Amino acid sequence: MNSPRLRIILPVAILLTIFAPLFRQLPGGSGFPDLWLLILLLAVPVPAPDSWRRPIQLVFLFGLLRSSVTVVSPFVAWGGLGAALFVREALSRRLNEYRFLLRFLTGFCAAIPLTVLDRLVAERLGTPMDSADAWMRCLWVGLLVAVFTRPQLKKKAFSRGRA
Amino acid sequence: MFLLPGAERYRRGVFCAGLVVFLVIQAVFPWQPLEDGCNRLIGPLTRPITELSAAAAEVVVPTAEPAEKRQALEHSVLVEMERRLGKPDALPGMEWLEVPVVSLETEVGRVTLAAGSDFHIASGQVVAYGDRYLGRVTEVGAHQTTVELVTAPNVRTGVMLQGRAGIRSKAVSLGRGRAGPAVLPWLQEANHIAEGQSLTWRPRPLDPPNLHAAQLRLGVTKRIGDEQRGTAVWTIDGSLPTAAEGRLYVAASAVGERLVAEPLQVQRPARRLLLDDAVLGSGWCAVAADIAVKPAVFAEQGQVGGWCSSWRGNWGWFRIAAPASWQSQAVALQSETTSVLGQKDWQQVDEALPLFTRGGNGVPRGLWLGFRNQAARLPSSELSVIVQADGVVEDGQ
Repeated sequence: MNSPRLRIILPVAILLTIFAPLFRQLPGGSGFPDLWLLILLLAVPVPAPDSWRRPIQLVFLFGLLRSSVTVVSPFVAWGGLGAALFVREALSRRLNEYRFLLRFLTGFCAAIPLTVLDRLVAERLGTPMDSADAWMRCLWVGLLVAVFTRPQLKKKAFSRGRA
Repeated sequence: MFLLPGAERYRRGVFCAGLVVFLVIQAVFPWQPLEDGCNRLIGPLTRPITELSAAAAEVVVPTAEPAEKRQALEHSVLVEMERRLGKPDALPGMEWLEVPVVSLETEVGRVTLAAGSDFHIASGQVVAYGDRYLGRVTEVGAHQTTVELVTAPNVRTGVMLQGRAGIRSKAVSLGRGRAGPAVLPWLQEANHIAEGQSLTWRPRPLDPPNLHAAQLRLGVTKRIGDEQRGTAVWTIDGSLPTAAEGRLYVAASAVGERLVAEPLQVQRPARRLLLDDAVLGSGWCAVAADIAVKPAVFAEQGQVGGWCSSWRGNWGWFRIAAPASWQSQAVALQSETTSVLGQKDWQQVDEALPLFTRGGNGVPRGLWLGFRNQAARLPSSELSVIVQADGVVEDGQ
């Protein structure tokens, strides 16, 4: 965990976690993307490295951070974030990552598992999440992932032992 | 073990996929012991971030302390009403022991009471509410007692039928549990029975003689089923009074020092952390308190503001709820008719009735929720949490 990139990602993740409840209170905030999912998708490269150790570590870490500011169970965060990585990995191997629309689609689909789990838990806890908000969360993640994950930048990211 | 690099990669991928599938399954179908254990473990780890987030939120958007003070009703108002409605008439040589209800399973005809051998309750004692016979004590634990109601499966109860012309005849009722109300499989005078006839409880030969004078009611007769198919049966029509969900009365000819048992309720000071959830939005608040067990509710100035959804060691998340949001978990007090109303009844009444917690699921009965038309109130920084210690009894006087 001493990669220079992690030194940036972790403080950013902690900072975003601290301000996440305020972020959600903003007008239209219930439709904003899940911050931890976004950081995870930006921090883990595509295709994923041979070792899934670091991505899984990040999943657990971001899940912990997420559960510190929400009633939603950490298992939901871990399951949703882990599933997001798998969905993105499966799609990105089949879709052309040089096209914006396909990157958007990959990010959008990756956001679905966590959003579905959040909706399920919200329903169970008696505070149902609006379906429009759920769609907006997925759209935001797709859009931001498509904008911020340029293929040429992904080659060196988190590829331990690689040039 | 030798593995090719490709196979090794595949093995790791499969392991990670299996882990994620397990986590998703746990998220969709939560196994509570695992959830609780995990919450206890991560609670102290995540609390510093929660505190930091709360401090940041307070700096950016300071929360105004509620200026208005609401009228607080003592929860004993409900208790007093239940006692007035529920205590059966005094009998010579006998005493009615007042015992709060811990849980009520009406479908299977079972009630758990918050007192046991510590309160000198014995198996076979009669349980009543007002002039209603409810059942008998079947199991007595150290601090809890199980009562089987007339409707419990295979429970036989002696019944006295009051005929039209004043003719009294004997009958036996048989409980059916989930299958429906208790039926009358044996009738001494089958030809004289009609719909709506009053049924009273008939004591057993070895019951205390003074109980005969109590004239406890069971309900009225009702015919159900299809006559032409031969499936018609006489049943007992009589639902459990709403107020009986709070406390019941056990007939005893020998008693100890105490006549009232109350479950122990512990109130602890607490501190509000976060006022909003970062995933679900408003309507939630994080509260820290110096207790290890999950509290039931948080309260402020004697008024309950919400229930606990998740407890993580020494802090947890509470749902902020308006009094009416408690729905079936609330009962209303109607002082005009001196009655305790369940959800269906209090929702039909227009006036703003005072609501109290119904009890059960770890929430003590009779806590003051507020008036029906009141909105949810944002908790201030200093509040308290209430824990119900099941199975521990204390003198309620």
